[in-house]
Amino acid sequence: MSSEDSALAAEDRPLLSLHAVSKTYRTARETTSVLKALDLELPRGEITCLVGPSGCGKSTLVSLIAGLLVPDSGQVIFDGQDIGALPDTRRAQLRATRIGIVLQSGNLVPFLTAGENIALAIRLAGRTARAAHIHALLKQVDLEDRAGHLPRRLSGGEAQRVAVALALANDPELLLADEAVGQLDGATARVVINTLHTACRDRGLAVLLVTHNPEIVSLSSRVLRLSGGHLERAS
Amino acid sequence: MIGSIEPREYPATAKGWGLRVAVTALSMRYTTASGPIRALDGVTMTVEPGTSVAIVGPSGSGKSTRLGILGGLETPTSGEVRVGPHLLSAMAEPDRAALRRRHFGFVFQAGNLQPFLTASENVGLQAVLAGLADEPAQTRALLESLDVISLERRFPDELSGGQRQRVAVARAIVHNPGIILADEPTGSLDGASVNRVVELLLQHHATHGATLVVVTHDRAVAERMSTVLEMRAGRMAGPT
Amino acid sequence: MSGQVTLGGFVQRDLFRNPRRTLTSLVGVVVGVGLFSAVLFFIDGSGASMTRRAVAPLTLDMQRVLTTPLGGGIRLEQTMADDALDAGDTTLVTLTIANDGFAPAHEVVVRVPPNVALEYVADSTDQNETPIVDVAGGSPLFQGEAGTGLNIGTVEPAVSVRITYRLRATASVASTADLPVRATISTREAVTPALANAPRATALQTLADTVADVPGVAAADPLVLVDMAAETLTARGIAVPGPVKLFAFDTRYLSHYPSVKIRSGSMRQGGALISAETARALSLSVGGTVTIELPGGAAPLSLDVTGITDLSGARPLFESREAGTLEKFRYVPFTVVVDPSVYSDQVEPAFEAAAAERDSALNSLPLEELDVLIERSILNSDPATAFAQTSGIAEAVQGVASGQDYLIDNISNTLHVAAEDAAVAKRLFVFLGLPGGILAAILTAYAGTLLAGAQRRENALLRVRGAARKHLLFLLALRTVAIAGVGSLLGTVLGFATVLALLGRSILFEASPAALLQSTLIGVSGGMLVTALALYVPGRSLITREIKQQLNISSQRTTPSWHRLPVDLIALAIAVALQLVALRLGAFDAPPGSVYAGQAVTLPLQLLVAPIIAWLAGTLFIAHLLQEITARAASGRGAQPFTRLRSGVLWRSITRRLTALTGGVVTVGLVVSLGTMLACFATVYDTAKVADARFQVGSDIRLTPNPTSDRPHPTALSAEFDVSGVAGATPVVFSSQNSVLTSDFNEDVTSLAAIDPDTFGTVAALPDSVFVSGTAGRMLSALRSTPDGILVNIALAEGLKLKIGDPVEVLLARDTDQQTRTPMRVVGLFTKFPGAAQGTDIVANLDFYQRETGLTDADYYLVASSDRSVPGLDRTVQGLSEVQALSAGQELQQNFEVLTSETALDRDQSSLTALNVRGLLQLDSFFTFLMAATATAMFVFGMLLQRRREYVTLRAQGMSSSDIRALVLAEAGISATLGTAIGVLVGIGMASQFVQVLRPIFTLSPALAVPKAELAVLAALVLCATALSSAAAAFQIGRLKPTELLRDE
Repeated sequence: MSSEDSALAAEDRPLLSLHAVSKTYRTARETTSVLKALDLELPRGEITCLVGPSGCGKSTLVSLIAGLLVPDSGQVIFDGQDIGALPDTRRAQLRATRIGIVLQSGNLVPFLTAGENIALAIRLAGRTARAAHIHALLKQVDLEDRAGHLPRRLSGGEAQRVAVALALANDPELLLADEAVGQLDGATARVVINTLHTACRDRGLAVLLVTHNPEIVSLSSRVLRLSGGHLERAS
Repeated sequence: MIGSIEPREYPATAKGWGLRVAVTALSMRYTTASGPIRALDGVTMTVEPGTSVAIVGPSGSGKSTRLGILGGLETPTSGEVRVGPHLLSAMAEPDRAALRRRHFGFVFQAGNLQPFLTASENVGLQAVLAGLADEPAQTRALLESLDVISLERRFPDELSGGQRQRVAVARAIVHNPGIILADEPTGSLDGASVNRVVELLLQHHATHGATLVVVTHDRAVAERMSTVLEMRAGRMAGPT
Repeated sequence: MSGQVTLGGFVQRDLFRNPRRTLTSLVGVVVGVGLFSAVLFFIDGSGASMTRRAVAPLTLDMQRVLTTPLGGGIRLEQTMADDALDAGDTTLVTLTIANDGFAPAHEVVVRVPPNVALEYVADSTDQNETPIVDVAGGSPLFQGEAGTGLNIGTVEPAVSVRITYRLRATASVASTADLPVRATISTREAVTPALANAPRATALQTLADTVADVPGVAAADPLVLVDMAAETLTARGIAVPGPVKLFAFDTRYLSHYPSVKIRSGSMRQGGALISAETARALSLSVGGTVTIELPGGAAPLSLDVTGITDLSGARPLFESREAGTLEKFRYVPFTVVVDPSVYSDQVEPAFEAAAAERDSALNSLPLEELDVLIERSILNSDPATAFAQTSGIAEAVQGVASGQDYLIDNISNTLHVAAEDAAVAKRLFVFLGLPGGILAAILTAYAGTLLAGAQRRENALLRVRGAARKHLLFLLALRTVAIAGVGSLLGTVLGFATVLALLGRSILFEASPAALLQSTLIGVSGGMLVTALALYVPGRSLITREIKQQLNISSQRTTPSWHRLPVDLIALAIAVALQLVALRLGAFDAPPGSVYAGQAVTLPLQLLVAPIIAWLAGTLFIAHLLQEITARAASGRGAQPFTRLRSGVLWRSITRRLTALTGGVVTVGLVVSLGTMLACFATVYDTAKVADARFQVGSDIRLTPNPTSDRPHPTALSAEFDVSGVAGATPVVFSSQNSVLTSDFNEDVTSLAAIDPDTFGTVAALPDSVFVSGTAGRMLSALRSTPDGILVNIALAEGLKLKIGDPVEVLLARDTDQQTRTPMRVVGLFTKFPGAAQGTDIVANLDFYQRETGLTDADYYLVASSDRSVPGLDRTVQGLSEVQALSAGQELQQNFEVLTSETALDRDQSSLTALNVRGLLQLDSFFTFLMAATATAMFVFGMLLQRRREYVTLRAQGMSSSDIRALVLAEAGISATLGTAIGVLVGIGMASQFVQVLRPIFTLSPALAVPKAELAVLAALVLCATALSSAAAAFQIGRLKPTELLRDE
């Protein structure tokens, strides 16, 4: 292939792909096979929704993609690189700079204000946190007046929105959102989804969105269902 | 002294003995580092005994605060809360606690089961608190009806979110309370589990006539209640 | 708007915005480091007075004992032949060197510096008519550049040497008598050159003046001691019935040595002071005349009696100057004191003359000495430094006219021993403070475990945000340094403040600023190091494990590996093994210390490691054993119905989270065991000190008749001590070296005590332990049934090769008219005997003694008091003063010296115990209280931190506040009670070990005593702190905002 072609190929190549990834949990009582030889692709510029019954391993999958866990077998390829082979320092760097993560809960450090939480995320990426930037990020999720609030003074939904702003702070290439909008009411959820769509379109952000909200699922063209450790396409 | 509120003190409804909830000009203000917050601002509403109500609204509109006050867990800055014949807002904590254990059932967003008790013990505890004898057979029957009987000896950290929530529902209804307060009971569940939990709550409401107040942001859930009250920025926005 | 959040800013916000968590981490550091640094400051402060205390009981600082009088009377006279000179005239100068003394003068050097007006005529020097060669072209009496004098060698007693030389006047001299005399003479015995034609002064006084000029010397007083034959003091024909001692000193001596007392009259020039015994024997009083028989045919010396002395306590005068017997008090009752001029004019010449006679009958020569008093204010408070100072002064003193004399340097000896004692004591105290440092680490680590959950969540969140391991470690390091640093600083301040309160400003600031600064630095840096390790190491391993994904699902029900029983068992076994090894090697039998024997107390301090290991391992072992047992008992969980609410919830909460409870139990246990150990040791210490004091005195009270008193003191007098407060009385005959013991092998001068076997046992402090074989009761009945039996000091018995049953001969009442030799038998052996500081060698039956010697007087009476408290003793003494036969209307103290065990306690001379062990124990106890309260409060608030959501949920479920309070209190109470119980057990074990190690500082072997009252107070305090913390926690729970907490977090 010519260099032009390979460059094209790189563009077309999905940002993230999983090949035959398996993960098993062992406790004192039992062994659970959570993911079984999973294949997954996340293309740039698209929101992929992940649905499935609770407790079936969606959070595990998100952790694997984020590099917080290593698969028992198989590969997790981020931008052409097998992150399972990387040392933890490099994986941490990925999370700081190229992957944005919103968890189901506990996204914010309880003793830092919303603004300070965002500033921390920026600092961990090795960049300077500018007040204007933080303000702009919060404005995106309609919370510019909450910058000085501690998390316990925010409602659940507000905390989620701050978490989304925080995840986008370093302009990541991949956003993993585990129930990021689950707690939001219709109007607010739409604000957030629009922000994500804009980022997808303008910056080629790849999004994996774990959700139960049928409204949100309906907004996305790519829906995957995880059940029994296997992944399948859902319409 | 409220040590013994007997059900027969209340007028029986067609189905049971649910409690009426009446709230007048309820306000709740907090002072924070960034200025005062009005979580509730002059809310007035009444929930007839034995009915089911959903309170919806955007996050931060004061729904959870509202539920906390209804449950007597917090005292409003001003206004009145009346549950049945009791002026909850004016009662001292020991009396409120007595009321809660016998007549209130709570379902929280995160389950909040006691981590050092098994599933069945969590349910049994509520029964004992309410002054009932802990009947293992009854507890088991209840757990079976909620399809968590196989988990009765498990500890909460060994259960999934949906399983925890179902056990939490069992705990909330084992003592046959007159009012069930649920704060985002389905918030962290997937579609199938959401349905199950809502079903269980409505079922109990139907068979025992307890008043059911559910705070939720999920429209689908809200619409299954007989009344939906909307809240916005600490105020009631009228029933829909 | 939010500002920059650097990693440092992150930690700062964490610490400031989570004040309760920060406090939890800090408080353990503060109290632990507080104890550690307090001990250091305490050592500085109380050590600062060590020098003062060590030298306080000294009799004489330094003594230069002269074997021969200095200078011996070598004198230089210079005369000139002509009264006036014209220029160009020559004149003859005659130098006469005469030795008037009775000892030769060696290396006599005569030096004559040149005179401006006169010049030396070459080759004109003659010695005893023999010409002396000029040296370097100049006078042999002023040689070379330095002008060294002429060494004429030895000049024997009563010999004169004449040196002559000629001088030429360069200018006219009107009067040669007006010329300054610059010729000097010096000898080996008197290196300081003395000018020619000097007035005759006693050499001793000159020496005294010179020594007094040595820097550091406060005073130098001449003292002459002369042993005279018996009956040499007379008045009106009556002679004293015993040997006589004559002293020569002046009034300045009296002011420097107050134990030399004048009862009546005063010291006056030319007069004499006689002892009360002399006055009685000769029926003299002030104003009378006493006659001293001088040796060598000199005329008897009659002097006016200007005063009566009481020298019964005058140790400077009667302590032995012989090397083997230093410290022995050899009292001679018949004494006379004259002033130095009388001595040198009248007494000394007589002795000189007698000594010069070839076949003189002199037993001994006068002993001249210089008693040197060192300036106390210049002595450094640290004995080691003070020792260096006094050694330097001793060298300088010795250097002044050094000759045939020797220096007894008591003060340097004392300080040397004190310095060693101080070093030992400091090491000991550091050991007592070491647990404080360990506890700081333990409390901090405990705080770490309480906060581990929150820490884990934070770390997980940071990892999600992209923090790598190095970021997490850096944050951990920052947090650690902040807490360790601030905590150690605050702890050191707390330690300082506590010691300030305990010792007072004056004592604490006696310590040098350098020492205090050093202690501060050690306290802060030691504290930082220890707590940093306690915080960082576990935190780091947690981070490593998280990153390696080795953390299982967080279950509070699994136990970490270090909680395993085998580990504890091994550590405990090590401690026990160490102890056994030490016992076998006899390491605990260290010889007790003695200042004059130059022996410091030797404490086997390395053995203290064993109790510390036992402390840690013992507590852990018992706690984990209990945990194991409880876990097994509780197995079989599941769908068990709740029969009772409170106990049902409580049981499950405890048994399913045993680790949490065990953490609290271990922490409280460690603190309480330390407190128990200290309380036991303090009690043992106090009891042993009181027992020692009582042993020293002989009983509770000792009445010794004053030599100046007229009241009779027969042994039968003790029967009249039957007043309220008196539990018994017994007479004792005892004085130093009052007998001679002869065995088949050898004989020795001994000190004999004659006791009444019937009463002595009940009155005197006579423990069984002082007897080699048999109980005190048996020994006393042996004396009773065998009147001619004696008990012998084992050291003496070994020296004379005696065993029980051997026949001996004893000379009773030595040096008195009633002196008599009688056969006796050894019926028992003892190691020490109560009542005599100088040591008892033999003990005999009083009846027998009185029958053999015909003497009826007692030397002292021992009285037991029914109430042994301080006010009780005073009351008993008061009661005794009212006994007619004792005082007859006068003050008891006029006729008797009253010594109680209380006053003996005050005079405790052991430098180690002078280090205020009691104060240190008070300090340790205070901090133990603090730490116990801290440990229980931490446990309770730890529970609160970790279980907030549980408690709020229970509230929502309708559990009453009182039930929740009961739950908290019960769990905290169980933890505290178990911890206290274990602590008391382990503490008593530790105490018994500690007491073994510290045996050498007591006279009698201490026995372990458990102070029930104090332990009850400690337990009560722990439980009180628990109750208070629980109440506060329950109050907090009531105020938690439920809706916030019940939300997802």
